[in-house]
Amino acid sequence: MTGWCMRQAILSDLHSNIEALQACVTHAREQGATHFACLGDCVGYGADPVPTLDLLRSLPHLLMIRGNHDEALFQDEDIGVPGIREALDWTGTQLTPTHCELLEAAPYIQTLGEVTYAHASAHDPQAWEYLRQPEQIRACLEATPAHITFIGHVHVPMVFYLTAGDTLREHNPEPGVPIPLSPTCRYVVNVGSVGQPRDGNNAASYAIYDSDRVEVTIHRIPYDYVSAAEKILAAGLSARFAERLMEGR
Amino acid sequence: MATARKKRAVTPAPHLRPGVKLGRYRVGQMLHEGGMAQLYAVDAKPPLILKVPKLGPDHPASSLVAFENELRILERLRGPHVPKLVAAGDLVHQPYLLLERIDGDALARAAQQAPVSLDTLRDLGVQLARAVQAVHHQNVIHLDLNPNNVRNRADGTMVLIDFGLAHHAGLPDLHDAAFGEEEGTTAYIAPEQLHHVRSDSRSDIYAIGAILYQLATGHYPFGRPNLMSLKRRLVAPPLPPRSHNPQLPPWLQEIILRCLETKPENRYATAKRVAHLLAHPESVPDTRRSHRRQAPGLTVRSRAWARSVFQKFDDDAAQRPYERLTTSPHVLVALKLAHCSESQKEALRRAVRRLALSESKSYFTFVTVVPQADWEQARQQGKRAPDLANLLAMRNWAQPLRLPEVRMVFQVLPGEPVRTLLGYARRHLVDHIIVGARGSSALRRHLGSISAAVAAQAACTVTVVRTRKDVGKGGKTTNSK
Repeated sequence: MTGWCMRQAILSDLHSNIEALQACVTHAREQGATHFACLGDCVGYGADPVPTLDLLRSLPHLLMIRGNHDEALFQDEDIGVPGIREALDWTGTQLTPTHCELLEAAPYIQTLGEVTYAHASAHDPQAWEYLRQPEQIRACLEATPAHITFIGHVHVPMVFYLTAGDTLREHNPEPGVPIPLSPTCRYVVNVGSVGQPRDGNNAASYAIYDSDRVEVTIHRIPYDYVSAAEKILAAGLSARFAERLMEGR
Repeated sequence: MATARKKRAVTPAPHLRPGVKLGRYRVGQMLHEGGMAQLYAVDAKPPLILKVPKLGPDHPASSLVAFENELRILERLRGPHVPKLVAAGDLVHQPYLLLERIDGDALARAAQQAPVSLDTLRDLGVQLARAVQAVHHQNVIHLDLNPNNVRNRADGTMVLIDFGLAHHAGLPDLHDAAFGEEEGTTAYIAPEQLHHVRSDSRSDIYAIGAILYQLATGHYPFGRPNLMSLKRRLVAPPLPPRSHNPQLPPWLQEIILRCLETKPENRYATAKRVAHLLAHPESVPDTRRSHRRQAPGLTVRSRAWARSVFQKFDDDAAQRPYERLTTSPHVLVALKLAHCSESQKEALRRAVRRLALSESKSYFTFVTVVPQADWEQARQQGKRAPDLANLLAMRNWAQPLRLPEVRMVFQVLPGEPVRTLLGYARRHLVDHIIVGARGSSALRRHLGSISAAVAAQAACTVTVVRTRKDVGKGGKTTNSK
């Protein structure tokens, strides 16, 4: 992917929230996004798995990564959130074989040139760690030669970087402000969550990566969370999933 | 992987030498060679300067970081107080900066000739503080202010240069002490910078204090710049400037020592506050230390030392420079007390009190504008202070507010009211204007037009204060623009 100019919208943790995905995709197209990546967790929590996956499939140059909810859809094990097993089983009844193929074909991790894409971490991606501690971030950086690693899973947008002097720092990105990525540093960028933001801001979160300018911008997009929440309640899924959309927690 | 990255980053220094063509420019003679970069003249209209970082095994690896940092920040800064960035070379293959050349070095020359006259010091200090304010307003902290990093345009406007060490609050910070980078310039560096705190805009206030100290006395605040002078600033205040030069006015000593407080929270919150006080010395409080001519006694020093042992410089809850500016507003209150009813006076006081309470760092300038003719007439009659009656009336009005002296300035200004108020607000970077609405129908034409014109033309928020009684006559209680 080096030497090739692209503006890639990186979406993660969609969680069957078509209202949020639609808002992000519309915004990304307005921003001139030519490529799309989805870092996993397309399903779970939300009530619109089919429209979400259909819209996702239609996006140009789509790169798909597998998340823990996508994996749990095809396994019986519990992922530890009350009500999520029922939500995933219900999701399974909604999907067609085409949708299932899309999710099953997604790899855990992919590296293209200077960029690595993973759901939770580049280090042991199937362990589904929540990357918060410095040692976890260092392990993630050591597991890949890439300049930038894009992740999701934690539902909180954040930029971690290792300076030329081997100091690990974090930067809380301002929405809409492009962050230039220095060739002297290495980065782990958490793009936040499209369908279940959890940093106290209920606007959907996604990133645009500009490979030409070597910049990342985190965008926060307000969307119709009331409709999304009503559909969750109407589908008989856990009311807590609906509440979380309003609170952004 | 780290080696992979380094291979990408560190390329040999490009062959940019005198005579080489760079696009449509030709590189001229070398002007300066520092530890991290070389500066060349570039003959163009207007004249430019070429800055090339020193790269390669013989030079500090941090010079590339400083270069990239400066590029990122200059790309984002605007206005007359920073050099224009004309072009920049590719970071990996041929790094260079092509910048507007600003030759004025009034501050550096004054620092060499220090001590300078009080008028020169005030003028330079105000200009410097304004330039720093303009940069803070754009969320950037310079962190290496010293007389050599400040230039001036022909009209005296100061321009800050060399943003290699600066910090942009909206960008990831590339600097790394572990990488062996310098933290600032020894004589001017703030104590928290020695603890690697790079996110406090009040570090620049400290440097302003150190520069003012040098201009006033001809000495550095902590003696010759060396390791001892770095340690000393962590444990004790500097020698009072009046110990070097007893002629210095106490208010100036107070401003300088407040800028040079060890704890950032004890310094002035904004650079424009320093500029405002340099212009209004009468509102600088008279304290014991403002008169001091010797080093503080053993008790004060040992107390300062004991405090320093437990002093922590907190980087966690750092306020972005721009936020600090909005929580330390300069409020201009236009008063025409002779035409105000008691209820209007009280309504104005309430408006001031609300702001004073909600923003504990706010400060107020109370202004009465008098017609030029009255002013001249009073002067001709030989009155020593033609504004005395108005000043006393304002102070009397302000007493129930119980604001500390340091948060208040009282001014009587001659001229046409609207133009005078707006001119003052512009010069002193006022954030908020409070003005009374027309008082009664008899004065409607006179005062009403003032508040409406101020609200329409001001570059900041304007609160027009009305008393409840006036509402019936067709207005709102308060009205914010």
